[in-house]
Amino acid sequence: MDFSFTPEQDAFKEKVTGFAQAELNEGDLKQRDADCVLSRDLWKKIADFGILGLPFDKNYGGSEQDIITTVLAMEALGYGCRDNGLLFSMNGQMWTVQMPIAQFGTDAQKDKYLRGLIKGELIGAHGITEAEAGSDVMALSTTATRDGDDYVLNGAKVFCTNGPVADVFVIFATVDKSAGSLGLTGFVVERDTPGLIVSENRKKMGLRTSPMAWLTLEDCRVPVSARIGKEGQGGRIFNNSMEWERASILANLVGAMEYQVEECIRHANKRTQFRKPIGKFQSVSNRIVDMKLRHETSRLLLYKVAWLKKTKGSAAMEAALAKLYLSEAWVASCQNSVVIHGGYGYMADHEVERDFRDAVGSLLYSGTSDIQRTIAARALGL
Amino acid sequence: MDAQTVEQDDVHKTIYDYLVEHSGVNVSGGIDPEENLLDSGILDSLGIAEITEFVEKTFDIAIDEDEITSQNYRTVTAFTAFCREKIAASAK
Ligand SMILES: Cc1cc2nc3c(=O)[nH]c(=O)nc-3n(C[C@H](O)[C@H](O)[C@H](O)COP(=O)(O)OP(=O)(O)OC[C@H]3O[C@@H](n4cnc5c(N)ncnc54)[C@H](O)[C@@H]3O)c2cc1C
Repeated sequence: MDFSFTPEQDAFKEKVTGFAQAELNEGDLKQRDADCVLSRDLWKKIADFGILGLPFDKNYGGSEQDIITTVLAMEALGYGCRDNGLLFSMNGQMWTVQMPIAQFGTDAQKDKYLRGLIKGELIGAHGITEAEAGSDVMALSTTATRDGDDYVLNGAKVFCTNGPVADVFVIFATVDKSAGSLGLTGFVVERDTPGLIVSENRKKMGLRTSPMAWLTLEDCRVPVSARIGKEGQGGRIFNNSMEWERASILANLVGAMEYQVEECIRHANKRTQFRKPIGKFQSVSNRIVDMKLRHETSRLLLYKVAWLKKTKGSAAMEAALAKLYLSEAWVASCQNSVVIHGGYGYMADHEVERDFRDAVGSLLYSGTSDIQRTIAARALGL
Repeated sequence: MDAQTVEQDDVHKTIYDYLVEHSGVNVSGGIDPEENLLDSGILDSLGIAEITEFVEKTFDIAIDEDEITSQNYRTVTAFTAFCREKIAASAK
């Protein structure tokens, strides 16, 4: 394993940090969080800076960076930008909408959608989870029935990140229920397609600046040209997205953890009780040391996944282990951060409270901790 | 195992034994050669990746992503026939 970065990678990471600190904390985040609003201005800034195109083909507006550079950029965004929901939405689009189209889509699909998504002109959402198919997502029951040159989609999706504001949806359905996961097939569905019904934003505990919808597909007719890849390739497309997503969403968290440690140190040195800065009490300093340890170990796991993906192409078990560890570490550190800030940390106008609410979702999205353990156990031969 | 010396029945037995040992669901009553492995839960999505890796190593064959289809993986009979074809092709 070699985690030494090139001078260009280091410089790029620093540039992204500067961009995130200067440009992505504009506006009233507290208000956006309260109103559950995704900032289109910040979204456009992210796109204009080139983030949405980082690992994608230059022909479609990307910059063909490798996964290590991409992960470093994501880490820098997590460090510099306080809007976790914005970054979550961005990752959702990049790995579960752009990546399937880029890797499995036709040139026409890339031309029509990937270009606009990378430019920030289109917003994408991903619908696979269903009411009866969550962790067991391959058991989904939305059907795609071939009818001449079309497919007709019927079913319902839940937890669709970006749904309320999305222009295009990557939807998974089965073309043959008896084929299990080998019946799954992906489709690009445009928002105004008759039969696609998108709910209003569904309120949730955290990540409120990342809107979420429920979808209904009622005789929703799409042309065969909307299919991503071949019939039955959906499981592979989805697993590939998840591996990218697990590596990259986590990178945001690693950056956020670094910021959080620094912020807790600032607070612990400034806040005085019993005529001492609270950081001088070992209970408080130990808590911060534990947070630092979680940050360092998380970072190593993340870099290992990125390195394995770059050198070996796939890192399913390591991505699962990293997702499991990082999400739990992030939640534990957010809880520590609330406690270090005392009663103020519990108040809604303080960002540590928001971080804590945002963090809990990480135990669930991209597969729950239990599912990551299942993937790792299977890879270990258990 | 050397792919070229694999007896036809060995292919079936190797696959069958692997599935019985690694199935995600209880198959203590055995697996019918025509039972649908994909919708019975015997082969879930991880299981498909695992058995692919297993037969690639055991029979010294290479399976292309495009060959991982419901036709080839649906039953023990279909999967055995598919593996035999791959073994024969790699022996040429
Ligand atoms: C913030 C957020 C954003 C999301 N965005 C999207 C999106 O954009 N698109 C999309 O399609 N989906 C999305 N999801 C859905 C997400 O992928 C699912 O919530 C997740 O896979 C879990 O499914 P479930 O909620 O149905 O829980 P369930 O599967 O019902 O799980 C409930 C509990 O049972 C446990 N469990 C289930 N099966 C097992 C098992 N085999 N072994 C051990 N424990 C098990 C789980 O770990 C969990 O603790 C999002 C979810 C969240 C929270």
